[in-house]
Amino acid sequence: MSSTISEPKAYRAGKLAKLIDGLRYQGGIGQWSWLVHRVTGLGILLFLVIHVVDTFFVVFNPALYDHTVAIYGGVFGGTYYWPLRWAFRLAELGLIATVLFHAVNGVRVILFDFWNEGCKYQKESFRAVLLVFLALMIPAAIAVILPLATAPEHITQIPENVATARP
Amino acid sequence: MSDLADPNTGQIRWRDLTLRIKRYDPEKDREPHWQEFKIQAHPMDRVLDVLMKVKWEQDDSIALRKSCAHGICGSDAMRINGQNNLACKLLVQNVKGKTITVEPILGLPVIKDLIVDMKPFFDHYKAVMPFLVNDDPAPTTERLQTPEQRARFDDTTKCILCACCTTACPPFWGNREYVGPAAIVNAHRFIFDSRDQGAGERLDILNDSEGIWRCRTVFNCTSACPRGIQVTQAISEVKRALITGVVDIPEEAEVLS
Repeated sequence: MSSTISEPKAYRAGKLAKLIDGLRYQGGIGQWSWLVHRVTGLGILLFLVIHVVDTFFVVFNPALYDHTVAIYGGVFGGTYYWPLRWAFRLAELGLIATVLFHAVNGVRVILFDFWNEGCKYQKESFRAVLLVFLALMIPAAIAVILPLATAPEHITQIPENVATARP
Repeated sequence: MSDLADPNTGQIRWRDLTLRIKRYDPEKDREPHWQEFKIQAHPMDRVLDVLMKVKWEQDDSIALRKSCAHGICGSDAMRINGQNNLACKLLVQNVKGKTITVEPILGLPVIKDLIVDMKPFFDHYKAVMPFLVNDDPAPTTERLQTPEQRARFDDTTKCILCACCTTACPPFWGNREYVGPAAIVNAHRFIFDSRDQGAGERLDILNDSEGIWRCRTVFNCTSACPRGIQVTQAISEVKRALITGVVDIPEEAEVLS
């Protein structure tokens, strides 16, 4: 008898399957704000790692540091490439958005823990987070994008100091 | 109901629906797969009725748990159109679109089709001592409390242990060792009960790396709860009790003493 029946196996979803099924969950504002908060948190961590590494260059190899910072300004190997500058400028805007959202939504999460009524207004408070985020983000976006309009590619004569200056 | 009725005959219109079920047969399948059924459903049918009709008329191998079918026993929790709910509490008229997608709740091992192994869930429930702890000599009458004291934990008495909240919780999907919202709700029910004396012990159990601090205030539990329990609110009340060391229960009134 013992050989006829085998114990059926229960299905245990793997990490990838759980991730896909989890993202398919219709959790509403709470779930998406949490997910964006997580992703922006990881984004800030990634930036900090890059930032600490490139600042560390100045200690053991100042020339490498200058080279790295020049790349951020769009200059690679002494030549100015405008798509490079645009890419870094827009990435900086993305970084500002990431930090702003994480900071403003972070205050909302703190309120859940320390304000008795915090959980009652989780949807309303997320709308407030979006409003504050946009109020800070729009001026920031203007301040970041405007210099691109006067960037060297729009000037017929590239100034002498652009290729060598640290941005 | 007028929008459900046919304007000419006044009869309620039946709806043509597609029922998508995530199937898993432990004896044949390595992984779950989707299967679709065409069915006509009455707008006032529950999703459970639709499932049972398909089981009776089209494919009797569909496996699901159900018992009371009135939203009390909590055995037919499943993910319906992306959100955890009881199949017996959701009416067809409240389903948007022409497809009802039904799959097992996520985070627990799937035994067959919509049936999951609830053991990890109940283990967490048992871990928080979900029973009255009171070492005083039993009184000859009831242990009295004021209406305010009773109201303090009223919301969390409504739990039916269906696991909708725990299996809607991303931290629980990621880590099955997390005690989960349902267990915290049931701990809350006794922590804030003026007749109970085990609050300290329960708070100690929850003050753990796999305990209450894994809650990331995602609010999926609150939106999933078929009983309308404010789960995240209850969890944050327990968190505050742990941070401040104060369990705020209304004072005993003069009448009782």
